Amino acid sequence: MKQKILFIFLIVCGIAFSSKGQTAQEVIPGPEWQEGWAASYEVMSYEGDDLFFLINGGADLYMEYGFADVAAVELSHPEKGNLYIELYRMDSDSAAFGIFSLRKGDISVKIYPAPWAAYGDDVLHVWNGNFYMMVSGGQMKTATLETFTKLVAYLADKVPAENELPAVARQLPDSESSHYAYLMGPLALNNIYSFGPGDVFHTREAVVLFEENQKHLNFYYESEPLAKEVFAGVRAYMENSGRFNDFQGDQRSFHAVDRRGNRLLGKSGEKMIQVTVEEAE
Amino acid sequence: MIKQVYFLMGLLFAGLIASAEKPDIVSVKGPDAFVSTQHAVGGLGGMEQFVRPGNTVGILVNSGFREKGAYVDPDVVIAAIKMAFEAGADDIVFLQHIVPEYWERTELEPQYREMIARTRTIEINQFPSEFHEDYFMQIEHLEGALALGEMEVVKEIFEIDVFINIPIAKNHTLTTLTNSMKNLMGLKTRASNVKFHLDGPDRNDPDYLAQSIADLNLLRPADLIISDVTYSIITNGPSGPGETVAPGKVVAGIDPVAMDAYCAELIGFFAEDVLSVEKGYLLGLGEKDYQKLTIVEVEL
Repeated sequence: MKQKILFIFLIVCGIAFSSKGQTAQEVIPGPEWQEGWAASYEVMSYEGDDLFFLINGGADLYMEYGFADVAAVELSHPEKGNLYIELYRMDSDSAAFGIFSLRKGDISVKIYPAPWAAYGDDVLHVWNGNFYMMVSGGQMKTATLETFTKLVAYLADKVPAENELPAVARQLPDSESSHYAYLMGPLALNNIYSFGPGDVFHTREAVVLFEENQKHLNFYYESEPLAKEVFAGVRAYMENSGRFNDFQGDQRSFHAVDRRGNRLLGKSGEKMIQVTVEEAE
Repeated sequence: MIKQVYFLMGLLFAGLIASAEKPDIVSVKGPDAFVSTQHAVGGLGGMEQFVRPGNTVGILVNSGFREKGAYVDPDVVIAAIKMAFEAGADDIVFLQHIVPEYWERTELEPQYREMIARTRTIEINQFPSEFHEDYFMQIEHLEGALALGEMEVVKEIFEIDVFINIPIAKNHTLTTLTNSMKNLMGLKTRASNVKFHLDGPDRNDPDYLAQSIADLNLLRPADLIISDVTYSIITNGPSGPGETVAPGKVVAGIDPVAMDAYCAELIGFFAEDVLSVEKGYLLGLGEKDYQKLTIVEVEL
């Protein structure tokens, strides 16, 4: 059974300078971060489109959120083993939070000021300001949790941050076991539920809350007229696309069943659209 | 037409296949990927249908990921190598590098270590592969390609006698599915692959990427496709970790379009969401409506 370990490390310190000015390469832990560690190779860094040369598939998702630069390194320790670290500097705190929420999956995380950290399946995920850090501990021999805790502390010390949630995500339940995702485009949405090719929801900002056998998707828009216009387009698409059955709807709501038997309930709200996907039994 | 067969004895299955119309796709569900692969290829008439004595066989495996469900089960590859050598292959080359650690992911490794050592691998072609004139060649334009321009591809794809494509059916964020057609991106340098994402009318344009993938399949059709559909990530692809499904199937065929459409459905996707299926069909690479083909589904 998949073991999930929860831990969070809170560092209280003053904000000496803005983290947004530091590149990932300047922040990533080097071999000097703790005694006994050595870098297996020089820190690799990429910015902009060069992200494709670090990530074998999936770079487009980071770009959708807003990617600035990344640094990667493998650190080795004679007793503890090897750690692989990727540190992403995103364009905004929201973008870093979005990637964190998507990459951590259903691993638990407690909500504290900063940083947020989640650990499971030998991978550590950290959100700190506009940075997202992923640490793979699959090559670790001993003391993984202790080392990871120190890494989180290192990042917090190096980049003081406040981890301000995007406004639409502040409604997320304040629970360490809640599973959610913050989306900033159609590629991220496609990772959650595919409504088919294209972007019928004109996805720019959305929050997904996962519950047992249900996904609650909230799409947000700049204005109420825009939200209503998109909702009308979604209704027309679902009624006519052929991929949904039993469609029923009016100007404020719809009901449909996809070909897998999942039930979709849609509702038009002020500046938003809500869709609940109830998974087939 | 889909025929479902519940397998009890090897002879029964062989007899059913021999007496029936030759299948286009054979899908085998079973607890052992090695055995399923043997039966899937056997259902198409056996490896002897594809490999002749003395042949050089090029194999392209999606092996470059660390997450289970994101890479082909090594047992599938070992079964394919074994069958190819038994059919008389003189030389087997992996067209994209397979790191030694890959084989350590299977308990079969000690048993087949010597056999694996007889294969070659193009070491320079590993992510993020860079052009080297000894191993790659530049192609200005593929005849019939609608989007794809200049690219750099592994030379040996044109030097081998038989091309076996071994993908895993799994999620890809931008293309929904990666399987048979998209796996051919493993034949190219990283710089060439990045063009698929950035050279379209919009950055990371799914339509342009799908057309490029379809175009790439004009390069050289695979003689045999073996898709690993045993255990697949269905979100956060292609690297994962993400949600997974375990159809427990190995699927063999020769039509890359039908294989992608069929395997997409096996892992819970809609075939029409995979834009490269439609693009490949329109290029004449295969049949998008796999129901028109003869598919044998076997449960061991």
